[in-house]
Amino acid sequence: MALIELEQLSVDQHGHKALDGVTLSVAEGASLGLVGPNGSGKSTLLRALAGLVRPAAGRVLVDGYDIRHDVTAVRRRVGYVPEQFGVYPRLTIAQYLDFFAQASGVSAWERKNTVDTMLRVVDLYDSRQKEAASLSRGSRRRLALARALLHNPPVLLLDDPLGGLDGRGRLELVEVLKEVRGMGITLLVATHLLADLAQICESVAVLRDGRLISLLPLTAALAGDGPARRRVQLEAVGEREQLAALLIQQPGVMDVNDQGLAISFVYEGDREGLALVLGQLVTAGARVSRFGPGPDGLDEISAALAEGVGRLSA
Amino acid sequence: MTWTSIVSKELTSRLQGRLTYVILTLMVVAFTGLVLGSFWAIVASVPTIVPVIGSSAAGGGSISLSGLVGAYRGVFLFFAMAFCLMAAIGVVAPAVAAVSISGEREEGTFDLLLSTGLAPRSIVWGKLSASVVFVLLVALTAVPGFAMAWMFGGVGVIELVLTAVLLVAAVCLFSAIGVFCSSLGRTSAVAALYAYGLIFLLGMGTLAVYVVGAANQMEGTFRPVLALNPWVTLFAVPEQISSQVAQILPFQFRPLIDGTAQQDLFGLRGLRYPRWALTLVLYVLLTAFFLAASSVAVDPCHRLREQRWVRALFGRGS
Repeated sequence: MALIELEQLSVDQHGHKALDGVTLSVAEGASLGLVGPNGSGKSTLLRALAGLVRPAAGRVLVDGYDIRHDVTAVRRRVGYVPEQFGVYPRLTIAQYLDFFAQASGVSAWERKNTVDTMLRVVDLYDSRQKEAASLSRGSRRRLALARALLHNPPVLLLDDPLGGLDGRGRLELVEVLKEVRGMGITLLVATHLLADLAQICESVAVLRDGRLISLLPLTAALAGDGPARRRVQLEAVGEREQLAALLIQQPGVMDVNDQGLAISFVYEGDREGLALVLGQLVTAGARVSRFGPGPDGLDEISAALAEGVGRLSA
Repeated sequence: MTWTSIVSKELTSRLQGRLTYVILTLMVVAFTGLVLGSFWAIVASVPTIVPVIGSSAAGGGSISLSGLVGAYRGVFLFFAMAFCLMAAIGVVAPAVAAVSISGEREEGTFDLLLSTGLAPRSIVWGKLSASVVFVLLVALTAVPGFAMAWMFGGVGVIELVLTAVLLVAAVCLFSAIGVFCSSLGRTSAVAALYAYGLIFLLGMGTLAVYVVGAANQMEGTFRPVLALNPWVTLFAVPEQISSQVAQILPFQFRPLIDGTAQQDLFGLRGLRYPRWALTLVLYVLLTAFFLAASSVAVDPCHRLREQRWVRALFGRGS
């Protein structure tokens, strides 16, 4: 059963169509990533689902409630974490969450328990008496996540949740999000990097210029079935300069980059073609010890998706 | 009653800052100083034969302002305080309320508040209540000054209650105007500017409209406009004195501060009210109007936004 349904949703912003006829359906418990370049309409789509922008046309249904007729009911069923958000100065973390729990309608007798549970889920329990404004970026994101989950919503909307976080911050938040996903909450995650979704989402919706370009399983996007652009990294024993020169001559290979221990390059083409490149290297005498996706390979795929280079199919 | 969460959050935030206590202390000092200064000025400028404690009407003959002040020094002192407090409220209330919603927008917290599912009217009501409570707290700093003025005598219990009710009504209206402007303004500075503009219109605008009307032989038609002006209404509360002070003014302008000059309500004969009654009714209605308008303004998905004229007034809200 679809928990979220968008029918021909259009949103006007500042005189242009931020969303243009988006039709999408998300099943209960599913986790969907929204990818696309800046200005593609990802954030607007999430804001429309959170009842924070008025649709110019079309329908938004969350758990059967239409945003035009019962926006308060929609808001109560959604937890929303925007990309940019503030915290109230002078309130401690516990006071901050207690306020939002009360505002969300969590009853007085279960409020303390709920706040404590959420603080433990996002690993902020020991810092609960600190001022919320003093938290680091990563901790603020976790606090925002706790706030969005206070009223136990069936839908969680996350706008670029990992943006601007360092490696440790990302790792911690991904772990929390995996836990949240395990709770059966329907997740919608907007990002411009496919890599962010790798461990969180099952499928990906690609947006460009306010339109939904494609909807496909994340495994298909990551596997790169069909022509696509991806970054590949190889390690080899012996002369790397010769290897790099050989690589650049191969069809579909571009942006060859000697990184010291390894060589990375961007390959545009299908998997068969990539296998042929490897075969050519080995035939030429290269002693390849590792050949696989580059560290930012997923970002290359998402850039290709956003730019509309190639086609990814399930 | 989830709007109470907003009240407690707002007060917690405001009262945890040192600045609040500095302002409260300064207000106590200012109002106490005002009473002492005013009393000194009255004593210095009025003949000493006039009794200091209590009040007595000036003797027969022509009425002079200094004579009236000397005779009713307790009343003048009390209402000078009330007048100043009303002015202070006109400065503080819009400033406090104008930050309430636009401040959240600036901080990036308003979307979070709206996404809690709290009804927009509850958000607006909570913001207004918090602003009113805070401004009343600031206004309470004038109580020691009022107590001193009260001790000079001449002010009846009914006048005292009426003054307090008018001040509270003004706090509510000024705060509602602030919240309304805050719900429209992109920044707190712009919201405060709009709010001060509207309150200036209430103060000077109504006065200007009345004076122009009275000068053009339409005093009776424009008199109800004065009920919107909190300072003029305040002047009219001590009826016995205001009617005497009004004798100093040209004939056509006397109802301006004459509390006994009751009015036909917008020309409807038989509907005659004292000015303060009309002021209270108008202030309650205006406060309710600004609250309702703010509820529509803060919610981009409000049902009324389907109407084209509402979108034209408040923008698309997206």
